[in-house]
Amino acid sequence: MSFDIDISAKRGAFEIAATFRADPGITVLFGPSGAGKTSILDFIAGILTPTRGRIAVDGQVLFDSTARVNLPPERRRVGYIFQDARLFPHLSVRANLLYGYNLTPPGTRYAEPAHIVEVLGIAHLLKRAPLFLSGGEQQRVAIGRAILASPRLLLMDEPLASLDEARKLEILPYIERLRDELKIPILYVTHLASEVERLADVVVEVAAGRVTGQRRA
Amino acid sequence: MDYLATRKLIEPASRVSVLGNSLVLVVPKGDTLGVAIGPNFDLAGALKGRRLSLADPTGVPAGRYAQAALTSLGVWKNVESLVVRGDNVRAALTFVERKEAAAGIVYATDAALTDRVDIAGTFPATSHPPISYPLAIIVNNDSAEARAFRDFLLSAPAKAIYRRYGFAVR
Amino acid sequence: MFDLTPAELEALHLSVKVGLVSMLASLPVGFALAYLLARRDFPGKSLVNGVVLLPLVLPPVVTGLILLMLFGSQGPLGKFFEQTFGITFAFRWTGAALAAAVMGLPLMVRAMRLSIEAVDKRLEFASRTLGAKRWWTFVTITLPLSLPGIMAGAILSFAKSFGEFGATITFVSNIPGETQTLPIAIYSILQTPGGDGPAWRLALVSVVVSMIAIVGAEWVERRIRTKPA
Repeated sequence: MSFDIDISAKRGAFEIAATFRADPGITVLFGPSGAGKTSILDFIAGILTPTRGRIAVDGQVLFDSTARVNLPPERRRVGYIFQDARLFPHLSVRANLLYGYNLTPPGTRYAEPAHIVEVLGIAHLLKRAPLFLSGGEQQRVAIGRAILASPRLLLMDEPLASLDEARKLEILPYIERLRDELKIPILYVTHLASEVERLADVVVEVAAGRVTGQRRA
Repeated sequence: MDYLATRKLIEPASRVSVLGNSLVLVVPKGDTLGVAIGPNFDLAGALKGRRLSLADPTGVPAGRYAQAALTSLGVWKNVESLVVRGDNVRAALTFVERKEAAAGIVYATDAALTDRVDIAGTFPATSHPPISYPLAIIVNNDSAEARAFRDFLLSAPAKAIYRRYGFAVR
Repeated sequence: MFDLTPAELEALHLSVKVGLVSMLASLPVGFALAYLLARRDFPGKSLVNGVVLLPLVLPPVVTGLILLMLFGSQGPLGKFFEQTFGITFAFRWTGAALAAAVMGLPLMVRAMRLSIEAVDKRLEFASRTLGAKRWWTFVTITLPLSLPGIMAGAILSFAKSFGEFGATITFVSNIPGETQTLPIAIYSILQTPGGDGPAWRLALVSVVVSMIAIVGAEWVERRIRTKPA
């Protein structure tokens, strides 16, 4: 499974231009805050539409301005883990986890609830309401929820940003384990060099909306 | 006015009634009912299930006169279920103007104000209590201005205005 | 004190019937409008918003006259409903329900719209990235989260119809048993000297019913808010 992107777009005053490819493993999009990294993720997920270009996962085209292809988010099978977890407040943890799982045709599933719950260590949280979880717990549930939809590409937008040092250190091993278990590209956005150090297989540098370089970590 | 008089809320000597009116049966312009007003006239039959528009007989004088007239002519029981009650006589007139009601009972002076209804008949004065517009000064308000206004309302120029609008003037 | 005469009971019964029917009938319309105004942009949006709010600012009698013109037996929509669905509004309780629905609509739409707007769009995005189509997101995320506002809107509409007078009496007049709702009955009674007593009784009944509706709505709203599925 690999991932290709070559797009340009206007975002407010910004010109965004991103060209890179990603293989299974963690590709970090690294750059200062406000560099447009989250926008790039939004283009990939289908929440925003680029002006021109092409996005493909494992050969399947998600967006192509010349061929007029623009799949809606629900058909892209691109998982997205947000900075603020965004768990559904009116559903239990269990219902949150199974939300995408239930929408995935059984033949295409590769993630199973029992295993993911065990990997992320959230079995004791299943009956709770998201409101009563700590930031770290919410983030782990968010990761589980995204993975249980069996995505072909995983987007993570500064998932550790709202956590304190202790929680961060707690979660990093889970992310590493997921990278090892899933064989999909993971795009991980951060502005912290320490996270790059720890997680990256490949680093894509982003500044002022443009991809300025790509290197092995 | 009698209600106020029994409760001694008016100056008895100031009470006077110079205006009268008559009650008419109206239909939307261009329509005809095919009946003439008289004892036991077949108003229900002429309405053919359509509505008769009155002012609310519970409280509005025009509605009370209308009900009294229809009762004394022996017709009220037959048409009661077809009656719609406007909250005032102008509302009752509007329903006829708009052809929502097949007929209505209003004052002659109201019918004169609009060209969208035709008069299908006038109720005999004997079929209802006399329509009068009593005037009186409220007790403890017998001031020079009140007297002056009362005099104006009873003056010749005022009577000319009343006649112009179709009131019967004594 | 609370023995109601048959006529008074009839007015109360009619008011409850008219209130419930108008509330239920305007729910889908009100919600559709609230959703459109909250989540979509389209040409003429301000116009739609203005028309929805109109019954709130127009004198009720004017609204009643407009209803008479459109839905009366001589009106274009009145004729249409008669011929297509066999529904008559003129001088019938259905007309009273229509007047109540129209007068309550601005309150309903406003409450619903506010609660839909309060639903975090980002939750809707998250739902779509998990594979949910637009309508499924709507049913499983937007709708449950805006439920308190939807309930509030419905109850407000019901309570408003309990006080609706001007538009109703202008449109369908005062017909005991058919269109004489509680407010109209009270008004009618007040026209006669000595009608104060019975009028107060009915007014009290009116207040009690409205209070039950409003307090009940609060209670339901609170229970929905604090209970995760």
